[in-house]
Amino acid sequence: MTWLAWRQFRARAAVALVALAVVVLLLAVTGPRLAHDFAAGGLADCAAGRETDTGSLTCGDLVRGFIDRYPLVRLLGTALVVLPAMIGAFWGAPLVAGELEAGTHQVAWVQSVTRTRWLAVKLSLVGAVAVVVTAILSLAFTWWASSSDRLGSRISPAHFAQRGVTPVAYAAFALVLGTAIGSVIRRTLPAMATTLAVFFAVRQAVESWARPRILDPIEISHPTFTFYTDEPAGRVAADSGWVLSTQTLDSAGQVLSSGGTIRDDAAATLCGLPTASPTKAQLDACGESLGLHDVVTMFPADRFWTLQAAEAAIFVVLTGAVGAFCFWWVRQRIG
Amino acid sequence: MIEFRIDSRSGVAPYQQLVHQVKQALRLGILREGDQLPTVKEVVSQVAINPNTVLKAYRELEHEGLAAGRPGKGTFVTRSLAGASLAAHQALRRDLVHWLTAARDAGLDDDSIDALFQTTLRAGTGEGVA
Amino acid sequence: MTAAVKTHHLSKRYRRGRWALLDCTLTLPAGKVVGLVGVNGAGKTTLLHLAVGLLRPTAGTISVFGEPPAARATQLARIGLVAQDAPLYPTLTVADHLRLGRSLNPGWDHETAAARIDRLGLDADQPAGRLSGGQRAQIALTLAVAKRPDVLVLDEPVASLDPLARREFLQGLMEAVAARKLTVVLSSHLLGDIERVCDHLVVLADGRVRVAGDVEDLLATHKVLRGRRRDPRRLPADQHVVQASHTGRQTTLLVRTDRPILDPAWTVTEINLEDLVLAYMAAPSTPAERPAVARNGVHVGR
Repeated sequence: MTWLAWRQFRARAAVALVALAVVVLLLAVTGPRLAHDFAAGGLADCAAGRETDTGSLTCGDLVRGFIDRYPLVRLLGTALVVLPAMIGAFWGAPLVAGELEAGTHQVAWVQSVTRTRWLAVKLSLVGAVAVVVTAILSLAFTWWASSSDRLGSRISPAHFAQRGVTPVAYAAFALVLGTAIGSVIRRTLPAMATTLAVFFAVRQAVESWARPRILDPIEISHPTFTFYTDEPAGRVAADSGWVLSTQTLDSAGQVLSSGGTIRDDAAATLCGLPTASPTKAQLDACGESLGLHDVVTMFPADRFWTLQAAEAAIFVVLTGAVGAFCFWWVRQRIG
Repeated sequence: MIEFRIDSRSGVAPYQQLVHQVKQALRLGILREGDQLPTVKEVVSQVAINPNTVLKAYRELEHEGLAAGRPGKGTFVTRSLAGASLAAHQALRRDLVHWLTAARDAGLDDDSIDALFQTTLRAGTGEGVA
Repeated sequence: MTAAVKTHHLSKRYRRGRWALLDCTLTLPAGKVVGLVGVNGAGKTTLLHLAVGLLRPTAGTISVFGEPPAARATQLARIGLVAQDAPLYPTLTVADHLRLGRSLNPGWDHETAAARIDRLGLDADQPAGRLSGGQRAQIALTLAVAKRPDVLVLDEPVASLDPLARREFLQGLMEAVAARKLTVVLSSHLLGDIERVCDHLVVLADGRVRVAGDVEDLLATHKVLRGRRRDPRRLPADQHVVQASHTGRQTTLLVRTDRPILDPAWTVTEINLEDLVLAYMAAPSTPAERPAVARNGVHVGR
């Protein structure tokens, strides 16, 4: 059975492995240069929370310049988000649906092999390739981006799903999901579309609902120093982590704002200052007198791997559940 | 060795067609005593019929004492139907050819000749022809 | 007589709600070549797919040599299928398909398979997608035969083949039957082929079994009666009317009976297989339900 599964899959596996080799090679070549640029360009200082000593350029300028110089960061990041979905749509959805559509299940299911074993072998083989490809790509990218990730961004939702072990868990889930949807719908193209839709819906649900609740976030409190007029880019490292919410309270504990800033005119009114154009010194004094402080609810960057493990575990469980359904369906409900 | 043919449209059961063809061959001397009949496998791959049909036809021939199965070897003809008359075939055939020529000269087509022959045969023997 | 396939009130309904097969109780004897005939949509494919385990019964049971089909790998090894239009993996070559058969079947007979492919003169490296219908049917038959099944199921294997390919296919099939003890269940529209190769017959119509039995028995127990017009309900109790047609003066009946017809008012003739099958395919479930409209003694089907 392994032979047949491999014979049917080998062309697609070869394409995937060649593409993977090209990308890994690219990362290996550019990786050291990226690390060097990062350290030499002052970004390392920004990451450590120090202002840069290059003078004219702020940390914000440096980050933007760096991203422009390495579009691969964004490109591969997107690829890692899309790859599991593609595995689900292009490898998972046709796995059973393709056979049903072409009628070849009438060949495969009348050999001396039960449907259960047939599906198990196919799923494990394709699953193994999917996991290996995603794992290599994700880990290579995680390594490659490790220096730039010191800017504190990799735990944020924008980057979290592109690093570490979660892409591997996503890929496994997407594959099984695609297979299950294909078995139910029995037609490849609608199954592919449905797989993409369901996969991203589940990802979104986990990201916005489950992920913030897996672990307890921490709360940190510091005096409000960000007023509306301030440029927030100066403190890249200060909140390095995934900020769920920021609230500005006064000394009595009353919530004045939930956006992480407080409007200049509002603050001025509270302190009886002229509302037209208060100076920064006036505002700072005002904030101090009112006891204004920000409470930040967040996951700090060092929780990255814990959160990764937790989210991966969620998807492993989902993979198991959908997989069990898929086996039941193929064994009991087809025919 | 003889070759069988099966006519799907004749309405005659395939096994009977086989029996007839063997008998025909026996009458015409194509098959003689001691000749081996084609094996079931040979017949089947030749005319694409059910092997059971061949077995049945051979059983029928055995039952009529025309053939006998030898285990592991095949089925063999045990009796000829041509007998002494076989010698006369040649002369009779010559006469028949003459007669046919005469019939055609008289304007009879094949169907008319066949009809004439059949009715004469029936009238002569007083019974149908199998 | 051992039963190769046995069904008991077997019924199958698809998701769209139509009963494709209803209350079908059958015994298909081992060692026979069983012909399954019926118009399109009569339930032939459904019955065959139930027999190989591609489908599951909605109600009732089916067993192959006493066990539900496809329940275990060893049971799957006992059945072979040549599905309608002989689907194969289009990108896999002829040799790949043999390899498939070998790696998926413990009982695989590689010599027979290779010899068959050789005899067919097929290029082993040709992808199955480029083969003709006849060639694909032959590969499918090779796959099904070389796994050495006890029951070989064929769903209209020759329907799309030209006469030469059809004959070659049937020759190959009959050789396989002659070579080993094999029960064959074969559906076809071609009554000439059925008559040639089958010794047992099942007629399906509207998802129900109309008649089933050994071909010889069926031919021996069915008679065509012709005579003056009269009411077919007044026949002896052992004469079951399959089909009746009337003109102004004459009545023609197809009856099934185990006994000789004694009534001298009838002219009794034998029936051939084709007319028998056509009569059963066209006959309403109970003769009283639909009055017969007949021409040449054969009902016009719906």
